Amino acid sequence: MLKYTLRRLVIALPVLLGISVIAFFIVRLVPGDTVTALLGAHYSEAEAEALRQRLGLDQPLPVQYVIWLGNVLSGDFGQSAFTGEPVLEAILNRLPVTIQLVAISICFAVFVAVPLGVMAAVGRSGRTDFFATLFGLLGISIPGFWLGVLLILLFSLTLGWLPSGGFVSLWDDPIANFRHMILPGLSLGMAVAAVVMRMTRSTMLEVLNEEYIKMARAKGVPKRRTIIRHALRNALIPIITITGIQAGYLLGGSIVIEQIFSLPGIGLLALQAITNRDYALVQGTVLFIALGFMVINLLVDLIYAWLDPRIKY
Amino acid sequence: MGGSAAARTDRRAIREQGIALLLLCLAAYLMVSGCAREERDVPMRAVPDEPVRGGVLTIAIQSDGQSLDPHRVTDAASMRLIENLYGTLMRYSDVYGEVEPYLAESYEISEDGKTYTFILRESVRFHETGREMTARDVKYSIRRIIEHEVRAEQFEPVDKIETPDDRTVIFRLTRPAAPFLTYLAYPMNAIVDREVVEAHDGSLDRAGAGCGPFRLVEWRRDRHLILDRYEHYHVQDRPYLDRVIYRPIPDETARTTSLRTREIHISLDVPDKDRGLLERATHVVVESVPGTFWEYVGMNAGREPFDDVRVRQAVAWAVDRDMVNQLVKFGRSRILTGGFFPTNHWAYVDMEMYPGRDPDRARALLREAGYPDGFEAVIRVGSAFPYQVAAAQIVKQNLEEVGIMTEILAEESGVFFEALGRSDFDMTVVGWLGFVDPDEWFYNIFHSEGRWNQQQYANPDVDTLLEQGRRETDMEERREQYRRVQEKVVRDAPVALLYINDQTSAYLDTVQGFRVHPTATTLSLRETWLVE
Repeated sequence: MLKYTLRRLVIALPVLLGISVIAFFIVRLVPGDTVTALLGAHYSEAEAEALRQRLGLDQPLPVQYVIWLGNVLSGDFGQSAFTGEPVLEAILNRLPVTIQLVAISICFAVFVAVPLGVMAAVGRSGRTDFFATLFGLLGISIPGFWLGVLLILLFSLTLGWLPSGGFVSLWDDPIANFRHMILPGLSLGMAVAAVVMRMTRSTMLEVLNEEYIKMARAKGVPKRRTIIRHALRNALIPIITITGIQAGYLLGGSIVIEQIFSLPGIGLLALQAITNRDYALVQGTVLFIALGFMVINLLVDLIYAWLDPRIKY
Repeated sequence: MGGSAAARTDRRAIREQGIALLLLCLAAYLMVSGCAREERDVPMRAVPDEPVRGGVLTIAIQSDGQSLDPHRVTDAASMRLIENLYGTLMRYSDVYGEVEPYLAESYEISEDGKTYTFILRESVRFHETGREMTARDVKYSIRRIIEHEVRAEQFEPVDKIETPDDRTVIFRLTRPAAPFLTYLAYPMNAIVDREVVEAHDGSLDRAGAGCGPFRLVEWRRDRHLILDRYEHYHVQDRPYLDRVIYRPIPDETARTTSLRTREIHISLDVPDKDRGLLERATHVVVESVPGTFWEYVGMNAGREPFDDVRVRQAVAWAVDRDMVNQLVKFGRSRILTGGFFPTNHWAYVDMEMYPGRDPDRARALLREAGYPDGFEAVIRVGSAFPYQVAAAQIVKQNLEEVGIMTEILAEESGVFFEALGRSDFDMTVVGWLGFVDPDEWFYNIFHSEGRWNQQQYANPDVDTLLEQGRRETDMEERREQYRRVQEKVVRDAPVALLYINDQTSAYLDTVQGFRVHPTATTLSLRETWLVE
């Protein structure tokens, strides 16, 4: 297992390198650059040239890339051209917000959707199944931002129970933190929950029809034990896969929810960086999001082995 | 048996349909109740006669600042964060367009208008070092502004700064400079603590080095900026508030919602679409003053066919300002038919040069200019400014009626502003934030050598008037000069003016003493207090 993990980490390096090349050059293909974004509508050519020189943007692109990569390898991700904030610091400041948001969404998805999916499969065509299907349909068809607005209307404006936005650090005040994160977590988690629920339901239905389940039941294994120990455990692999992929997407895809709930997460940081053509910041955030995706994938693969003894690395 | 099973299935189906219907009704109720619900009524508060000390006030701003260095920043958000940390020699008075001494106790201007002598106020102390501010700090700060280049131009006439003693500063100028006092009142031309700057290797990006009513406690980017009352502030018993928290809330609706749910006290910029909603809320006060954000249809006078003044005038006559205002701004902006300024500015002139839309006149002008069948042009707009894209769509329709066929190109801000900066456009719909002195409004945009003369407009008479306006110290003369500038620019129409927007802020009814300023400055926070 350790060897496998190390091998995966080694393979991750060329992938990250590839991503760094793409991130570096693609952001430079977009019309406009850091200088024009910094100077706005009002600048002279001489000013632009001076700033370009100061930021090192007058060098040929491959030279800029090599310099940047060299710095990254030594742990220096550069500075935001706009705020002067070190890129690494900017990312590390916002990463906990996004990680927490993703974690709450995934927890919601797993703790609600998996039991619901199992119950739907067990009671196929029954009332629970009907509710689960309705839940799945609503979850997939309601866009997260709209759900977010509805939740604000209900819980903040009408009932006044929860704040409508903002962020309080978990370490500063755990209760306030939870109150601020619950609505965005739900808004983001709903679609994931729907996907996971549908996946759980269909995989469980498949597994429940297997011979070994019938055998277990015939041998007198209690129903609950058959479902949880025999059926669910075998259905978990695709569920974990889909949850992992969704978690990866959420890392970079939570921009709209972060915007609605004024959460200072990595999605919003990436968006601002792209709008400002803040090259170092765009490259840094893209690399981190990619790294996050890869770590999640690795975790998923390791969980496979833990769940299914037949899988060995 | 079979019959009973069928009946059970039917009952179940009916029950499930019923539940589904119930759920749909609940969802519909949530939406409707959320949208239509009025704010819960709150009994009218008894406001004490005397201001009360204490309290924490939260202000929502559109975006977080880029830096806390007053001499480096250019964005409005940073200015909002910084302005209460620092002090300036002069400050804006309650009458818009006028200034009064602040860190200076008094000042004198020599007869030739080239020597300004300031006597500094006593017992002004810096937050971090507790040191008293001296003339050397003033000299250091102005030098630093010039070195940082961002606003160096404002101090271009400064030849020498002398500091004969700790409380006297003498500015010797190469020529009279009428807006000099206004520039000294600009909140970012702040006096900084030299020792703090040096301790931070010359950068104030994340440090406070001021002597203003509030001192810096913590800045966590994109989360909050916390300022605390400065107990040694030189004005006795001010400020009233113990703490001010700035929270960046980029989403317009989220800002409005936070105010409705009382999570914030002040929303500095209220979008037109939310104004009615907040006006209906019983616990919110919505206040508007004539603002300085003016918008226009820009034309590239350096490019055919807009190099012909008649073509530009045709556009100015063809645009239906009233329609654009009604459809885009909900009729809340003041259309500009002549001059530029808000009505409360001393340089405001009531001119009716394009009193209403006149397509016939526009067609006649186009015929005269040699374009009887009109022409084609592209209107470039920034997609980040949806209200300008919407305005461009109406302008397009207006122009089509006189034969000018346009295509709208909505681009991402970076691309759009770069094109504008290079004067690479036929037409555009965009706006400027004016400030206080007319020189700030006009010089760089309409002088042929102006830094931001994107329209490539050149009129020697306007150049001369703008240069005179910079030197003239007699108020009446200046008023006349800027009246003539406005008249000439509006007639030459490098820009077809659309409207000027109100500055609208909203705050909870517990907030007292806060004043909405045309430039959106929050300097009145030192006079602001909270009713429990």
